[in-house]
Amino acid sequence: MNEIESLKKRIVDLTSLIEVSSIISSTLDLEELMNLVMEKAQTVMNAEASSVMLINEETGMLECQIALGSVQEKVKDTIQLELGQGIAGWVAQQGKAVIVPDVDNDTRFYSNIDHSTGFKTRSILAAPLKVKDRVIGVAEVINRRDSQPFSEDDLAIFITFCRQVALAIENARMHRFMLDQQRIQQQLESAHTIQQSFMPQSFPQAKDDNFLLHARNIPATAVGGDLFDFIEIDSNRLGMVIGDVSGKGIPAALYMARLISDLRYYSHIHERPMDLIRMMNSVLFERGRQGMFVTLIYFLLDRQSGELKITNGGHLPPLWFQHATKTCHVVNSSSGIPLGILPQIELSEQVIQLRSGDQLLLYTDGIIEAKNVRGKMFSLERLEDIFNQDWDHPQHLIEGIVKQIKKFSRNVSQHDDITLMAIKWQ
Amino acid sequence: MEIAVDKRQNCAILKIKGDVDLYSSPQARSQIIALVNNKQFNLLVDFTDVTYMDSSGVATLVEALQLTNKNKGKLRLYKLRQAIRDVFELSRLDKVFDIYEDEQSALHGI
Repeated sequence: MNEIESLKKRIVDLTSLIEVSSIISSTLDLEELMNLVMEKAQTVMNAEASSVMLINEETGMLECQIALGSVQEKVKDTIQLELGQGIAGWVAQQGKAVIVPDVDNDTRFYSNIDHSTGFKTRSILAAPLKVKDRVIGVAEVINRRDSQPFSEDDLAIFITFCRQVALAIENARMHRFMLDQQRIQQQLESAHTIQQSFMPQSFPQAKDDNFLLHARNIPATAVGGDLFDFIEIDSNRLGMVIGDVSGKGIPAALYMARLISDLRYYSHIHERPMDLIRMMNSVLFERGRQGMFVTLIYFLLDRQSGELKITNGGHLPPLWFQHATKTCHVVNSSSGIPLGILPQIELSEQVIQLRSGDQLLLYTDGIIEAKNVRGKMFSLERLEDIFNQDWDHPQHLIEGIVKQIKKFSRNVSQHDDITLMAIKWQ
Repeated sequence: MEIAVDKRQNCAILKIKGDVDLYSSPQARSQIIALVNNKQFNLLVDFTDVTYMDSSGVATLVEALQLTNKNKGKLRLYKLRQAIRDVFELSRLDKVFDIYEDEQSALHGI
């Protein structure tokens, strides 16, 4: 090749590289992009066939993603190589490009592919696809049309091609990853909104202003396993419930969704708290999967008298502020075990009488187990201290507790769902 | 979290080290299920080195209890440190699980 021809070829090569750059910036569709680039590579290298194999990160195998040439359908999606197997496997393992002028004289050559496709490979130019120092795959061009072996010039231009291809593959993968993340995030946001709608957005009002109610749920992740509900049994009786499903995230949220629906249904069939909780235990035990359970406490309020009937299934005991004595104490009733664990459980029903100015506070373990930067827990004692301040409205009490927890756990991510419910008898 | 499994008499003893939480409990679960699938229905869990257990960890124990009960076996826990014992007592889980002081008393009568 004289000097002018050599320079002309160089111009064609460089023009192709510029064209490859514009292809790469034109699409984020990985398959389309690889096809376009390899078509270009094949033309420039004057080759009969080409392929791109990528390393499957789960299996560690090289898998053929793109194959161009007369037997492309037989190769694509069917060929798999171990690292170190064949020329491509060697390139992937060593991270080095290679010219194989005659495959019959190279022991690394894996002839099974030719046997299964009927294609005759004579020479190969193969280069690793590298992102920084990590090999993500191998690109090959096969058999120069002029039957000459690939040259060092071909190698140099092909390595530059491969650098751009690797970058483009990584960009397309990042783009796909970000789209997936966005989709998951959108789904979680929808799930959060839907789950919050299962719990009351407004709270029952007393007809003659004899009580005030408030509640709040703050999941640690988009969705959680804590729950609260108010159920109007009839004009004089109000059911109130707070619970905590084992585990976190989506499994706990789905369990919680079904639980709320069952509670609303069965609370009208089994009006006594003890009967309702026993029924819920049977339902949850029958349906139990992977040991999931719930701690649940149910109150039936007489809206006229302030009498509360309580049955507890393993939930943290409520706190009762008695206005007359200005004291706060734990309502340590004889609780049953959490629900959904054993087929039969022992339960009891406790009755307490709210008097003017009394408040009752229900909470989940995310409150008392909230941690500060030193790993210390918020504790029941701290909660009692806040509760003991004779709050004028349950909403102010709950906002006050949430504020104190946020202050206590500053710079620590919330590790468990938080739910609070309070009633004040006027 | 790490789990070592010892065989003693007709029991498997699971010695758990570290936190048993949302992230580590699937590992504990698969080891327990593998033991039950191998017809090992008497399980003892040594809590000496369990530093923390959340409700996902408890759910794993609940599943182990349900599996052993179903196969007429026993699940017994021993050497729970005070913080974990408090969590169990507060949720009445001490009434769900058979809890023992040490290995010797846990092995007794199996």
